[in-house]
Amino acid sequence: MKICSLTLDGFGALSGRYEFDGGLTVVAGPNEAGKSTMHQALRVALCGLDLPPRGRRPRETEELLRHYRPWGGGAFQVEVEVEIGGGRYQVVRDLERADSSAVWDAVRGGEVTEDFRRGRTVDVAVRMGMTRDTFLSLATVAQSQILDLDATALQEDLQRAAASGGGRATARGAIDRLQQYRRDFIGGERASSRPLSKVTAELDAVARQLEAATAQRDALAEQYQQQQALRERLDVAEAELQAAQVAWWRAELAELDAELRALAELERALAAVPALPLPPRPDVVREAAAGAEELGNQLQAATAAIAGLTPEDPVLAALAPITSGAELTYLAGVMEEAIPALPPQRGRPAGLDAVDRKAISRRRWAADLLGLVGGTVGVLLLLYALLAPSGQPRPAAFLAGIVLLLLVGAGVTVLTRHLRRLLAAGGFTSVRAMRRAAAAAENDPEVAAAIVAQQAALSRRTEARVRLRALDLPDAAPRLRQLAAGITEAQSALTQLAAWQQTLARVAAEIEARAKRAGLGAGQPVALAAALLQAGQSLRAAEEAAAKRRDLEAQRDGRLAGRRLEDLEARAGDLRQRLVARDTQAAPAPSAAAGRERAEAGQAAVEALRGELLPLEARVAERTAALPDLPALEERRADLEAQLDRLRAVAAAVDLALRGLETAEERVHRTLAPRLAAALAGWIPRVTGGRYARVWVDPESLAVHVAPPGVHRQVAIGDLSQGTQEQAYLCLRLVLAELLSPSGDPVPMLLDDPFVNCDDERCDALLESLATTAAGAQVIVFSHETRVATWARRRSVPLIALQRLAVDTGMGAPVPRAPTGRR
Amino acid sequence: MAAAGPGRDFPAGPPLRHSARVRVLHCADVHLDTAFPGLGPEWPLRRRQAIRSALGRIARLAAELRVDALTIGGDLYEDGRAGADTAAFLGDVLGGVPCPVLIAPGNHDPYLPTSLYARHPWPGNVHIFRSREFEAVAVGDMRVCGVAHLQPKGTPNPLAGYRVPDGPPAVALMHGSEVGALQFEGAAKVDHAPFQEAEVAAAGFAFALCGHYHMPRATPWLCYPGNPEPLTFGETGERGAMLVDFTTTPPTVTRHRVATVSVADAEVDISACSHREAVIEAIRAAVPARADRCVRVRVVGDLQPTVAPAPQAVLEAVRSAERCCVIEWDLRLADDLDALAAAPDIRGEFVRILLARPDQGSPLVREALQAGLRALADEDPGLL
Repeated sequence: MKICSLTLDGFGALSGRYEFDGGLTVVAGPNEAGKSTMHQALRVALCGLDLPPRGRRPRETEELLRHYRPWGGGAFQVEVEVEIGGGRYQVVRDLERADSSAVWDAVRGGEVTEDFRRGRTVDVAVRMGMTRDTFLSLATVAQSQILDLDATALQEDLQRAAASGGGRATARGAIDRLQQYRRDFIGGERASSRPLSKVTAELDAVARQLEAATAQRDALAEQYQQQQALRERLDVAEAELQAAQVAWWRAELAELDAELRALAELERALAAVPALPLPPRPDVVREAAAGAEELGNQLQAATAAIAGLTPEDPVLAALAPITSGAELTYLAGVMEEAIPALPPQRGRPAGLDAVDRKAISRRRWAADLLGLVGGTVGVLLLLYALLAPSGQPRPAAFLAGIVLLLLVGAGVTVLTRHLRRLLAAGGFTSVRAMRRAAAAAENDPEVAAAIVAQQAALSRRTEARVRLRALDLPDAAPRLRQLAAGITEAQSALTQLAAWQQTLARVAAEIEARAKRAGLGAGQPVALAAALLQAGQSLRAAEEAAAKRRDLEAQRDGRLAGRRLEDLEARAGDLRQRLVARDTQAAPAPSAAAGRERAEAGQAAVEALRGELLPLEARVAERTAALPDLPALEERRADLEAQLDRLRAVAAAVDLALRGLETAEERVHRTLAPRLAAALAGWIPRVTGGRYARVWVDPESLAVHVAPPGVHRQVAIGDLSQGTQEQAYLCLRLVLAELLSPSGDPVPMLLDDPFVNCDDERCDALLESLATTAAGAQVIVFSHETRVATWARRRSVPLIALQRLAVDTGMGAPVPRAPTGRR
Repeated sequence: MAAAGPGRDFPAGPPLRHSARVRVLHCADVHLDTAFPGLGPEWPLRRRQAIRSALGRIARLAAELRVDALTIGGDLYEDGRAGADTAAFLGDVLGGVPCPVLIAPGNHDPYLPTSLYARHPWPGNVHIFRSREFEAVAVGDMRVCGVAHLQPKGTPNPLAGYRVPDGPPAVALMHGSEVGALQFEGAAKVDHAPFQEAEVAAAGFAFALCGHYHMPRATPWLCYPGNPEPLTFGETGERGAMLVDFTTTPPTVTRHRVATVSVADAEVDISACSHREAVIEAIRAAVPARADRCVRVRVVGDLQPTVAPAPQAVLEAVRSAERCCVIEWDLRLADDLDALAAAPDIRGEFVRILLARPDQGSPLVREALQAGLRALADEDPGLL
C-alpha cells in the first residue's frame, strides 16, 4: 500500500495537497509547522474516525474533531489517495459529518465505498485485511519507540507487533494476564481460597444442609403423625370428658335445685319469724322481769288495802299516830272541867284570874332587859362617837348609836303595849296593880286553896289547850269525845295501813330496782311493773323467736354445710350456662358425686394425653422452627450450581483462550522468526560494515542474535551499539509491516521525529537505512530537524517542507490550497 | 361449551348434557413454596409470599362470588419443600372459605403418607381426593369427581376406560396433561396423567376442571386456569382462577386475575455502550423499579472492546430490593473477527484457531475470544 497524496481542506491549520513518494518521503519543518497535524490527518484520512457501530462518538473522537476543526470555520475535509493491491483509490471524508466518507476508484471511476466500510466508518485497513488498530499500530512508529529502545524493548516491541500489530500487550503478557485471572477469579477445584473451590465447598455444604434438612423434615413428619394420633386420642378423650362433665353437671344441677328449693323453704320460714330485738343484757332483764307480775299484784293489793284502810276523817287520820283515845278523852274532860270559882269578893280582883301573870312577868322582864342593855349600848356608842380621842367625831358609830336607841325604844314600846293588853285582860293597868292584887289574894287560905285549885284547873286547861293546839284540835269537848270514840279504830286502821304502806313501799322499791336494772328508767311502780312485765314478755318472745330462727338457721346451715347460698346459686347458674353451651343430650349421672368421679377420671385421662401431647408439640414446634427454609436452601444450591457452572464455563473459556494464544504465539513466532532473521541477514552486514553476517531470531521469544561471519558464537542484538539496534529495529518494523500485512502489501510507515537523539552520523545512517529499506515499503518521516531536510535535498529524497504557521490565520503558507471535490 | 367471560374470550362449546345449578371457582398449579433460584437473596421470599397472597385472594374471591365450591386441580404446593408452616397457612386460608374446597393432588403434591395432605389436619370444609380412581363429592345438584396423584410421576390416564356412574351431572377434577395442548407448554413439560379431550365426554363427564398446564386454556370440555402467580419468566398474560358457571347452558368460564407479581421480558442492546456503567444504566432503564414485577433482561448487541461486561457485577448493580431481574447475556463481539483473523499476527492466528473450531458459534468460543482479545489489549477478560 502506498499513500499517493493527502489533500486537506481545513484540517487544523493545514490546507492544501501534499504528495508522497512511493518510497521515502520526508516531511520537514520547524515546530508548530503542522507536522503532527499532517500526521494525524493521515491517520484520519486513511482509517477514519474511531466510531462505535451506533450511538455517540467516543470522547477521544470528539476531542480530535474539536482540536482539528478549522478555527475560522468553513470546510473540514480530508482526502487521501492511495494505491492498494494494484488499485488506486481516493478516500474523501467530510469531518463535519462524521459518517460521511466515500471511496472512489481513481482508475476505473465509480464509488467503492462499501469495499472499505467497517461499521459506520470507511477504513483503508479493510482493504488491507487488517483492523484499524493493527493497521495504525503497524504504520506508526512513535518517537519513544526509538528513543527508549534497548534489547528488551526491541524484543517486546517485536512481540507486541507480532501479537497484534503493535498493540498494548504481547502474547506472553496476554497469556500471563489470563493465567493470573484464572488463578485469582476462578482457581482450581482444590485450592482453598479461590472462587471455584470456595463455591464448590459451599455447594457441598449447602447440599449437606439440604440433605440434613430433608431428613429433618422427614423425621419431623413422623413426629407430626405421632402428634396427630395423640391429638385424635385427645379429641376422643375430650369428647368423653365433655359427656361425663355434662352428666355430672346435670346430676349436680338436679341436686342443687332440690337443695335450693329446701333452702328456699327454710328462708321463707325464717322470713316468717321476725328477728325481735333482744335487750343488751337479757339475763338482767329476765331476772328483773321474773315475778314482775306477782310484784304487780302485790302492789295492787297493797294499794287497794291502803286505799281501804285510810280513815275517812282526815282529822282522825292525822291524830291517830300522835294521840290516843284516852288522851282525847282526858283533854275533853279537862276542857269540860269547870274552873273552880274563888270565893266571892274576898278582896281579890276578879281579873287576876284572867291574866297570865307569868307571861306578863316575862314580858316585863324582857322589856326591862331590852331597855337597859339597848339603852346602855346606844349611849356608849354615842359617847364613843362623840368622844373620839382625835377630836374627830365618828359618824358611823354615832349613827349606829342613834339607830340602836331607836330600835330599843321601838322594842320596848311593842313589849309594853303587849304587856298592857295582857294586863287589860284582868282589868289591870299596870304590873304593879296586878302584883298587889295577887298579893292580896294569896293571903286568904280559902282563896289560896281556891286559887290553887283554880290555878290547877287553869293549868290543866292550859296544858290541854296547848296539847290541843299541838294536835291542831279545837278545844270543843264533844268534838274531842267524838274523836276519842273513833280514834282507836283509826289507829288500828292506820297500823294496818302502815304495814301495807311498808309492803307497798317495799314492792315499789323492788319494782323500781328491777326496772332500773332492766334499764326501764324511772316511773310509777305500777307502770314500771307493767313495763317489767312487758319487758319480760318481749324478752321471752324475742328469745323464742331467736330460738326458732336458730333452729331454722341450723337446719339451713346444716343443708348448706359450710357453703354459701349465693355460691350454690352461682354454681347452679354456671352449670345451666355450661349445659346450654354444651348442648349435648348426655343423660345425667346417677349422682353428682358419681358424675364428678367419672368426669375427674376423664379429666385425668385428658390431662395425661395432654401431658404427652404438649411436650411433643413443643418438640415439633421447636424442630419446625429450626427446620431450615427448604426453598431457600434449594435456591441457594441452585444459585451455587449456576455460579459453579459459570465459573467452570469461564474457566473453560479462559483455558481455551490460553491454549489458543499459546498455539497462536507459537505458530506466529515460528513463522515470523525465520522471515525476520532472513530480512535482517540481508541487512545487518550492511549496517555493521560486515562485522555481523548471520542472524538468528528465537521463535519462542523473538529474541534476535547475530554472529560474525564464520563464527558460531551468537551475540545478542542488545549487545550491539545503540545505533545498530535502532537501525535493526527500523528494519524489523519495516519487515513486520510487510509480514503482518495479510495481503502482503506492506503497510506504509509513519515515523514521527525518530532522530532527535541521534548524532549526525547515526541520523545519516538511519536515513540511509530507511532509504534503502523504503524501496520495498513506503516510509514517511516527520522531522523538525534541518539536517533531515538537508539530507533529503542532498539525496534528492522527496521533501515536503512545512513552514511555521501563522497562529492568527491558521493557514499553512507555503503550499497551495489543494483543489477540492471528488474525482 | 364455555362461553366468554368479561374481557376474555373462550370458545363456546356445546351445551351440557345435564344442567346444574352450580358455580365453582377453579384454580390449580399454585405451587406454594416454589424455589426461585437466581433472583438474589430477597426476591425469592417475596415471590413465595406473593403466591400465598394469590391463594388468599382466591379464597376471598370464592367468598365474594358465593360459589358452591372451590376446586383445586393439583400442584397446590411443592411436596419436597412444603412444611408445617405451609400446612398451617393452607388450613387457615382454606378453612376460611365459606364453601367446600375440593383438592385433587397433582404430581408436585401427590397424596403420599408423608405429604401435608396426610400428616396435617385439614379444616372440615376441605375434601382431599386420595384415590387414583375417581371419587364423587356432591356439590349442589352436581357431582365433582376427583382423582389424586399418588406419586410424583408415572400417574396413568385416569380417564382411560372410566365411565361415570349414573346419577346427577358429573364434572371431573384432575391434574393431567391434555395431550393436544402439550405442545404449547414447552419441551420441558412432562405429560403426567396424559389424556385426550375426547375422553372427558367419553367417560360421561360434562366437563373437566384440570390442572398441570400453566398456560390458561378453556375448551368446550375442559379448562386449565394456569398458575395464578407466575412462576417462571414467560408466564405472562392473564392467569388466575376460573369461575365456571354451570347455571347457564352452556356454562360460562370467567377468568379472575389474582396475581400480585408479573413477569416480563426485556431486551437491551448495549452496542452503543462503551463502558460498564453505560451497560448498567441501559439495563436499569429497561427494568423499572417496581415491587410487583420481575424482568428477564436479555442483553444483546455488540460488546465493544472497551467494555468489560462483568456479568455478576452488572447484576449486583442492577438488582435491588425494588428491582427484580435476571440477566441473560447474548452478545456478539464488536471486533471485526474476519479482519482480525486475516491478520498474520498472533491475534489473527488466535482468532483463526478459535473460529476454526466446530463449536465456533458457541458461548464458550465467544467468551474465549473475548478473553483472549481483551488480554491482548491488556484488559481483563471481564467474564465474571
